[in-house]
Amino acid sequence: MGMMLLLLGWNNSLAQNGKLIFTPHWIPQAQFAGYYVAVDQGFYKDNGLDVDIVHSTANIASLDLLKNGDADIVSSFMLDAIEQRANGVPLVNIGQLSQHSSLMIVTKRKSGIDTYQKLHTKKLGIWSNGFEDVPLAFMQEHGIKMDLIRILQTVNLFLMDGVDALLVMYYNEYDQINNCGIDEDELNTFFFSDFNLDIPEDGIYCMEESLKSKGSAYAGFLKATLKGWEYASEHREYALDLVIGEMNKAHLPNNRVHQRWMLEKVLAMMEPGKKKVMKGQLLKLDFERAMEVFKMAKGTQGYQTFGYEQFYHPSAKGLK
Amino acid sequence: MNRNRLSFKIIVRVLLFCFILGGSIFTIYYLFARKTIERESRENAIHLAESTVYKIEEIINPAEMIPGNLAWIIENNTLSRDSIYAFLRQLVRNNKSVFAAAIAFEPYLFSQERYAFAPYAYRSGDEILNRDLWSPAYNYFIMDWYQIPALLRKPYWSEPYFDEGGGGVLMTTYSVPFYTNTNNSRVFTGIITIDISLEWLTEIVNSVKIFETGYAFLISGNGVYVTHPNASHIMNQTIFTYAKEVNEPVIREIGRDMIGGESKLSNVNLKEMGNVWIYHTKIPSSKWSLGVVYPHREMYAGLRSLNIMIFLLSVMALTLLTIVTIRIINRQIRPLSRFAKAARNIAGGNFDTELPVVEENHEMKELHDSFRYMQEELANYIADLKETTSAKEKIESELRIARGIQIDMIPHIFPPFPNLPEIGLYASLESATEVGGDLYDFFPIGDDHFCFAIGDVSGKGVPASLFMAVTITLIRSMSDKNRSCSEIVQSVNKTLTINNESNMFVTLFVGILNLQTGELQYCNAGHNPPVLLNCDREPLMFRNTKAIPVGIFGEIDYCNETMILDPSDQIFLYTDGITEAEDADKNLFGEAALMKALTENRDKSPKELTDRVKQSVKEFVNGHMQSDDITMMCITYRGKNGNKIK
Amino acid sequence: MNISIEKTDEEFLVVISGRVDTTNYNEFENSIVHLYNEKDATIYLDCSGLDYISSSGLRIFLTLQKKVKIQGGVLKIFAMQPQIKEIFDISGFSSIFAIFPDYSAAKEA
Repeated sequence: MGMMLLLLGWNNSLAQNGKLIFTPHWIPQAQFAGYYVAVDQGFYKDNGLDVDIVHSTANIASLDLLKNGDADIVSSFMLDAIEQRANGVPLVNIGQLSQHSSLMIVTKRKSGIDTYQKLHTKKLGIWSNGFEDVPLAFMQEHGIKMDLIRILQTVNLFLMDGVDALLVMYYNEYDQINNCGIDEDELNTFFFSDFNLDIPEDGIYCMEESLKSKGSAYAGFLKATLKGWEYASEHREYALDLVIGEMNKAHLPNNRVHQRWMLEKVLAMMEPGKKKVMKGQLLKLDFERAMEVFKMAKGTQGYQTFGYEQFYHPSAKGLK
Repeated sequence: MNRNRLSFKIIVRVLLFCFILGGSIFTIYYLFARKTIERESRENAIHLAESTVYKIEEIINPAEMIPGNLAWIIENNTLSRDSIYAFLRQLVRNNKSVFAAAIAFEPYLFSQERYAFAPYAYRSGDEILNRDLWSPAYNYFIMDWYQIPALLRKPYWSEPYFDEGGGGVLMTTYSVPFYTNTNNSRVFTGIITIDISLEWLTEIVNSVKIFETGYAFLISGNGVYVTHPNASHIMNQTIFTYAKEVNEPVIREIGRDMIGGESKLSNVNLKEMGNVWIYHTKIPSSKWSLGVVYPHREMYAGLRSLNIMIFLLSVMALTLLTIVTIRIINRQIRPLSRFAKAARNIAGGNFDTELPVVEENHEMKELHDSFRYMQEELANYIADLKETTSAKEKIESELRIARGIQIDMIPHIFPPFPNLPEIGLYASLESATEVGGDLYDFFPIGDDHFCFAIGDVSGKGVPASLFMAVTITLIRSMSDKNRSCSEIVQSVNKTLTINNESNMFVTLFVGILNLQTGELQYCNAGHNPPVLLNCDREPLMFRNTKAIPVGIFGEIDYCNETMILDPSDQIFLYTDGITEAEDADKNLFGEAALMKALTENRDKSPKELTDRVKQSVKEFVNGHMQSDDITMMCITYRGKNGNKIK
Repeated sequence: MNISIEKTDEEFLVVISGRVDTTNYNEFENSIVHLYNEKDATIYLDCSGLDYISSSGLRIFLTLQKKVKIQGGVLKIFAMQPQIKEIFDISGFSSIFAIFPDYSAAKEA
């Protein structure tokens, strides 16, 4: 019964001599294609690194593994990282991959909810483990109150009309809905990026203290990772082969159609768009907006405050 | 084979007809068979799907009852709290299809001290174990199996999943909300679930075999492949991702119908399989949907091989038919060409030619009999003809001889008397038939008289010629110095009348010219009056004497007439063959035309004159057949001793 | 040639028309041959339609005349066309036959 036990290769001894444990913040999928490509193409090795990718799960967040010292370096959703830092965990961002928000709310067109105002008082399916800051800030900014129904991960409740609206990632759940037979023209979409909430998402984090000893390794990691993503963008089917391979290794149901969608959308989020940003860079403006969102969602009580310079430690200076 | 031959034409037509007939029958058969197969396939597809669904439901239905029954038991407080685990274990043990069962309570509803409680019994190898599902890491309240039926307050079949605890088998969970009665109100208390292994389901669906590549498949409410012949689809693909992957929008449409719970038969064209029937119907319990795929190619494969068989048989049959037809027809019409050959032989005069043997009694026999009859008749006819011809030839030769004799009886050497300078004479006799009835004659009597006669026997042919011969003989024998013209005519008449039963008669003109004086004595017995010509005068026709022809009445007196001829006078004598010469329109030449011709040629010599008259007649009749003898005689009197010869 | 013979009491009216020549004089004779044996018959021969007669035809006339005379009868010919009359005149037959201009004249005589 939904018991997906993860059998992780545990490695407590932190990497020495270029050995790094990297934990993506979710189960294997195209969201992490660049890392797989960097390993497979030997980009990490080229930087003198021996990177071991150890996935997190729905049950264990990547930041927890970082905090516990089970991973040297992790990927994470920026607002989750901000929350950890606010909670006193001294982690730092060493590279920001996603520059945009893929979070969105979908409703079924037949529900009649075609403007954000109509979301008011409606039931919103929302994950129980994070990603709530942006929707909460959105509701606050627009004076909308919604009935939040916490869910684990599937879109089934939405499909069965158990909720009126669902918080989804454009690159993932939105396509899952399509893949369950709901046509795109049967859905209304509300991208937060359209509501001045284009908060960057996936970034790379490490503990602040490890910077001193492994700073250069991290810089190599970021460089190789970006190269991996670039390669994945140019060799998408190859990248998908690696993704499918990883998913099969983890006994995860998978199909190429969905992973292709995900790869495309994740790659798109790494593009600067209208932002004046370099690959891997975190804009101060984005950080500050994220902080606002965090404060709107979580308040300020009991949280440590910190600034852009404390949070963001660009490992590789002068990145393109 | 010669294309113009009758046999070839018959064979070609027969075979063409057979071909068209066969083709039509085959086409009708094919369309009918195709339709039948299509209908049967359609029915089969529906039947197969429905019966498969029935098989599935047979297994699911009892399991589906369990949570409902359990909910009723709990709601009616018949289950003691202490025995929940034992009850669940017992339940799992007793129901083979059930892998696990759980009763998950809403927060604090099992007991006020306990936030969450979900007693759970499950199979582990041969054993059945139990435990509480709840843990902080396993917050069942947000699990689909709990959350969805709890929120919707209705039973819920989960999407299929691989249960790693259950040995990685494909499972589904059936969840039913249950209630308890507290303070007279029915309160939602939690969810009862059973986990059902789907291995049997896979077996049932995979056991459906349709031809070679046809298959059955099952999709969940989300369109996920639960069973599919391609194992890699199962749980990985939804019918929609598959549709996208193979770029077949029509499959997406079918998938939408399927998850919409419709039962429908669609005829679609797939890139991979060509035309297929897809029938789908929902599984009533889980709202999943079963589809069966019938590839046309294979549906009609039987028909196709049957077609090839029929085609080969047809070719064989047609070949056989051709050979047999050729043989029969050749056999039947072979006599025809033999008849043709025989006919040619017979035509060549060989009447003894053997006819082809025809044994059977049909048209060919009739032809044979007709041929034989014709052959015999022809032989007889030819024999007759030979006989007739020889008889005719005999008669003709006799007639030729007779003609010779007849011609010899009349003088035909001109000028006849070179020693008679007083006379110029020319005569001609043209018989219409071999032998004619016209006559003329002339001869000197003594030294200074010249006798001439012209006559026309009534009728023609042999009787007339005989009568003519008699007449001319009589004239000669009766003419002498002492007889006048009338006496000659009278005695000829007397002799001819005797025993003339046939009433033949002769018109006769006899004249005797005194060469010295030019005195002409003549007697005309019913003959056309002669014409007196002189270049200085208009022609003058002799007076009509109204005496009847000779040979009719014996006792008749004929009279002599006399006239004096001047030197250079000409007498033109003729028979009615001239005046009664006819053209094609039966117009007679007539006396007027004769007189005109004579007038125009009155200065010519006797021969030239007669020739000119003959020419005029010829021109008048214009090729029309001569029906009567034409006789002319022209005598020129040149005066005593021929003094005035022109 | 057309011949019709009409009998009333002792009289026969023979109407002959068309042409009588060597090709059909036999036919002519055959159709009137029965009159040869009629006793004391008066035979009227209507020649108004007779266009041509050859000497063979004349012979039949002559035979008929002779036969009728022998049987004590009379042959009266009437209504001859001029060209026929001319033939009769030339041949002298006019003097042998009883020829009348028309039927009534023949009857009265």
